[in-house]
Amino acid sequence: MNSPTLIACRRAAQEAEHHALQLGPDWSGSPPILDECVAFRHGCDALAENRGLNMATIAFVGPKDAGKTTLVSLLIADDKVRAALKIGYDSAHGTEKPTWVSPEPPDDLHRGQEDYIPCHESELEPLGFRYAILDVPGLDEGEAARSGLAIRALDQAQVKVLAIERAKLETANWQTYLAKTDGAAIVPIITHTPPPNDPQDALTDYDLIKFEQALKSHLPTSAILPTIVMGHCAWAGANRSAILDETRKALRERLAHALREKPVETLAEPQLIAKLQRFKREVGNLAVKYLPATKEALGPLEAELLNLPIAAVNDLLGSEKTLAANARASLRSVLLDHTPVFFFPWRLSLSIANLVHGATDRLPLALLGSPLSIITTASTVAKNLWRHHKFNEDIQTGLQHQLEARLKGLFSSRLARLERSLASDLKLGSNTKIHTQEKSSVRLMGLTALQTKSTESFRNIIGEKSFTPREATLLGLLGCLIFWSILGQPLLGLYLDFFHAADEVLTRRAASIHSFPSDTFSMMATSTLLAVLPMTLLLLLAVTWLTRKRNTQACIEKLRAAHQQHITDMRSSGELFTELTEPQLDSCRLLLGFGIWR
Amino acid sequence: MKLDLLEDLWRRFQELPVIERQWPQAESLAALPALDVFDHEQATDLEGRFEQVRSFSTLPIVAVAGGKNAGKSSLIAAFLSVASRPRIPRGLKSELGTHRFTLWLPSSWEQNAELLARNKKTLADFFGHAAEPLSHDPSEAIHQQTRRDSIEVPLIAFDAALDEQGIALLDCPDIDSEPGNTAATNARLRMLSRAKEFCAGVILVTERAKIEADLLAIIAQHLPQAVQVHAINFVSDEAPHEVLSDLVHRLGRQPEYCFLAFSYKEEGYANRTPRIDPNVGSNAASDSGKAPFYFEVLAEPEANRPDRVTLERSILRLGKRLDPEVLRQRRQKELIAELKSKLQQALVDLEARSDENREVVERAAAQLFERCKDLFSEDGALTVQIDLQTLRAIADSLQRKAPWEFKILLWPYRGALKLLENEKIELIKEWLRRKKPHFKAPKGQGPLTVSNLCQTLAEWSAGIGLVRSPTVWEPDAQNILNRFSKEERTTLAKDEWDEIADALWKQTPKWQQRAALVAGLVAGLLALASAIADLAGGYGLFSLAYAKLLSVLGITGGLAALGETGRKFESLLKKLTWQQVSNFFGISADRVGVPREVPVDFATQFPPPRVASKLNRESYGVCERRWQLARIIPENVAVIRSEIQRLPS
Repeated sequence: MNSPTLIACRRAAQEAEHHALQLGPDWSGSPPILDECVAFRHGCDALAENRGLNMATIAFVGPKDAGKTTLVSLLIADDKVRAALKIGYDSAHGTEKPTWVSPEPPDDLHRGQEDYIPCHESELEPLGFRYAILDVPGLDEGEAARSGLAIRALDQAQVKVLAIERAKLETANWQTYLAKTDGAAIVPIITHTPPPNDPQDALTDYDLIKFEQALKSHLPTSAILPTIVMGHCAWAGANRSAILDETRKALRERLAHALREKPVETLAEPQLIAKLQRFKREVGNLAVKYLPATKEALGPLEAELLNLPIAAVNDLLGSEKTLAANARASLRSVLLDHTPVFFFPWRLSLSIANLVHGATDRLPLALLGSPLSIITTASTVAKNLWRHHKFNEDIQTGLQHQLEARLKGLFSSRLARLERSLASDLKLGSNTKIHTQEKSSVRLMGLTALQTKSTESFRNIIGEKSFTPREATLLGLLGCLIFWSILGQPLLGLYLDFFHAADEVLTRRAASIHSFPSDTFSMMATSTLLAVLPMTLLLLLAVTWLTRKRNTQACIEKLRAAHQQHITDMRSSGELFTELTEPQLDSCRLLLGFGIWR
Repeated sequence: MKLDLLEDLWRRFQELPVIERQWPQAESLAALPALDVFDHEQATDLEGRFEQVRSFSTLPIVAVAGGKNAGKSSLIAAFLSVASRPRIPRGLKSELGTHRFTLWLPSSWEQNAELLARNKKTLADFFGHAAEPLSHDPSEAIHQQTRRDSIEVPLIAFDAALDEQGIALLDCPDIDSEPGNTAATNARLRMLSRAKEFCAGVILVTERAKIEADLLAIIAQHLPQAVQVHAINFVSDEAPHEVLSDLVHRLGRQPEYCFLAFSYKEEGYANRTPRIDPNVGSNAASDSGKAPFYFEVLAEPEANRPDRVTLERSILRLGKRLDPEVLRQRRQKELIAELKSKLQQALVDLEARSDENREVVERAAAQLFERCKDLFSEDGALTVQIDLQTLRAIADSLQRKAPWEFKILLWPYRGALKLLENEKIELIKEWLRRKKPHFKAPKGQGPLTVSNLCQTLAEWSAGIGLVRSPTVWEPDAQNILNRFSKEERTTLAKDEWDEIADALWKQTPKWQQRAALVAGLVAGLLALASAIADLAGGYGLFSLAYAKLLSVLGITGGLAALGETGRKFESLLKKLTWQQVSNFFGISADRVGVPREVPVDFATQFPPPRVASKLNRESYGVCERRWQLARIIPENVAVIRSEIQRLPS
């Protein structure tokens, strides 16, 4: 019987109670909140447990003398049972107490406050499933006790048949009354309707549409079935039995539609959900009423807390320029990672190019041995390495650190004021400090998860925008091909010469070491230079294409968007939230609707 | 009715001092003006009531009220001539609901210019709007009455049939189209209770089935009790005396008049309604011309038989049965009784509120003080507000007490500060502002900004029960900071600074150390000055924790490093800060409207504010919350009480 929604409802009540009590016994807001919790818990239990009846329950609600009991009688086939109902408006006949008509009595039947008319299943109109009926007193009863019963009865059934007279369609009381039962299935019936040919009083389409709109706006989450219009039985010329038959047919059809093939346990679900929402709203309203200064002090803080992760991300990602530089570096290193190790010297050139990025112009000079160029190039290399390392570290843990630091700065300056406001709301004297722990602080929960997601998304985006492993391999292959197709030729010649000379020595045709190739270094150097040049050109072209402005820009945009998305997602799913270490302040946050209900 | 007693009482109410006020100004006040200070609305209400009783001349106007579609307009229509009936919207259709107050007067009143003027004035007085004439064209008239947006503009119409009936009727709209059961939440109910003030009696129209509903009781509460006529509509097949006994059961008393009409659209109507009902018989009107026929119900069952009801018992003869003079007297008596209870209530309120008010004001002041103190704290420790003047005082002392070689060194630096102080030299400030990155400005929290003060005041106002958002506080915050920066001149005496400076020099005997001190000093003070100058948009206030001030002065290691001098220095700084807090509180209190004395809990530590008192009369406390410190004069209250007792109830 314990559905997750019911458990959530009970937990919400428990939590609200806990937080209200946390604020101390003297806080004037705790009695109303505790009352609200008790009423809410009772309502939820009543709805979910359905008074122990393992069948659908149908309540007939509406203003006094709208014809509720007449409608109830339509569902009763047996005359004896029908005779037990009280139809009418004078003191002797009006329905004074909620009256159950069902095959088995509800649990904890309260004889003083409720009536029970036993009947066999066969004595009720067949709808295709078992059901119980609850007839409710008028919502506008003059006696407070009776109208209170009418309000409580709203929690007693999963389907409500709303009976309302044609003349009272526009009154406000049924609207406020019914709003408390949002989520339940509603069958609206307009009773005492004059015949359509009545010039003054007939129900116009306009009136009907207005009524249905009012229903919809007061019961936004309810399933509202099509309205049944019922004539006025007592009027001159009215065919009483035809009107009743017609209404019975329509009512049976609506009820069957609302209830058939739905397990009894799930019927209360939507109403429970709506009830939970309403409860949270109500607790929030009460808290705002009784914690005005705390709310005033928390408001701006909360607004900043909300912006905090985004601001921290922006801080971390840095300015557009540095971010672009870092993105380029990362794109290049991904290319390097994807290139197989045996692509010599393509891979070597790639890693050197990555290292000396920003000092490429000095590289030839450095290679030629210019000491100054060697030093400046080395320093650029070191700077590049350090920057890359720092950026990587930032990506790994920076967000977390940034957020923590910002949080601390934001909170420390406001804490005193927040505590002062809470003290004035709790009506504590100037010398009684609220029982704060040594030092209150604020924690952002879910930071590690956010950090992981941030790192992951960075990797993914860079990986996505860089060359794929296959492309990198192809590119490497092409580079190597260029290199080796040029350098291969002199090298091959050299080897041939060498083996030729060796062969001569081995076969003792000649024993001179002079036939081995010698003085080939300058030739090899020239060949290497010739081979490296087109390969480097290709490399330059490839890297330039990879780190072209459009690509890095897209990376940055994606990166920012991804972070925003993570933060919004995690916040809405409750993974990312702030928590105050001081329990009283945290309770205030939750009651005021800033925190997240668990 | 003799009104002398009332006149005397009223004079006492206006003149006899019952309250001794100490704040916002010292004076004694009579009951009415005192009440006016606490609760302007209540005072105006009392005045209105007194005026009403004194110039009482009610018109024999009877209000017709009831729930939605109870048949109010149909009842009015029954009183009117056949020609006027189409001007009344009747029926259940949404577009035919009455949403205005319409006063129907006998035609003869139209000719009597004086009477007409008086009527119109009464209507305008109570509704706050001049009455609009009801059109003679039926469709236009119906349009006027069904407009939903102008409930506060009453309509006025005349009909010849009312001359004959001798009655004037006020058609009231229903109250249940709007949620809320009190005048505060339901605008229609509010209008209804205004209409109550000038009606002599009321006809309550109820459907038979709704006698027991809560609505009837709510409407009855807001209408005159003097003459209440019950008109029960839509009675089905039921004996009239049973309906009457149900009504008696509901009211808990015998109604003065109870009329009843059967539901004429129901089967068997002709057999139940009295023979004299114009709806039945040979010359009955067509269906659309029919109107419910109300006749008086008597407790005796036989008397209500269709053939026993005479024309005298028709509701249309009501006007003949209500003697205007009797109506008037009964209503006046009711009004005096109401006034009496209101006067008694006013005295009770006055006593309760002066006590309560004292408590509230004291709490508000204490909380404001605490919050001011918070503004001068950082991480729990008090901070000192440093402005250019204080800086210069420090620099002067240091220079005065310096050994000669440093005296010369410090000379230009002191001159620079002097220049800075001169507000006209914007250039220097500009230079400082631009150069600021070169000096590392001390990191101060600077809580004395407009937005910070606004937020503080908003929290303070919420804490004492009336939320006022930060933006509303902005002018006040600006004013407070402005005054504080202009008028706050707390500094220490010259020799107090000198003593410290002397100790400082003595503490550092070696030349090198002194040079380092001077270097640190020059850099620190210049940085501080530039930081202050940088707050150009603000008010040149810069708050600094003591330790930070010391580090600015080039003293590392905190106060402890200075030993005895340090303690002396600290106590001097505290003295400075406490005075600053008090002054800031005094200025804030003047502005937001609480007494400026330092609250009892803090008075031992903090000195009284030393800035001029300029209480703002339009402030939140004085004007909006009507705060005051006052004491009741019990003997005079007793005098008024005994006079109220002498009024007839």
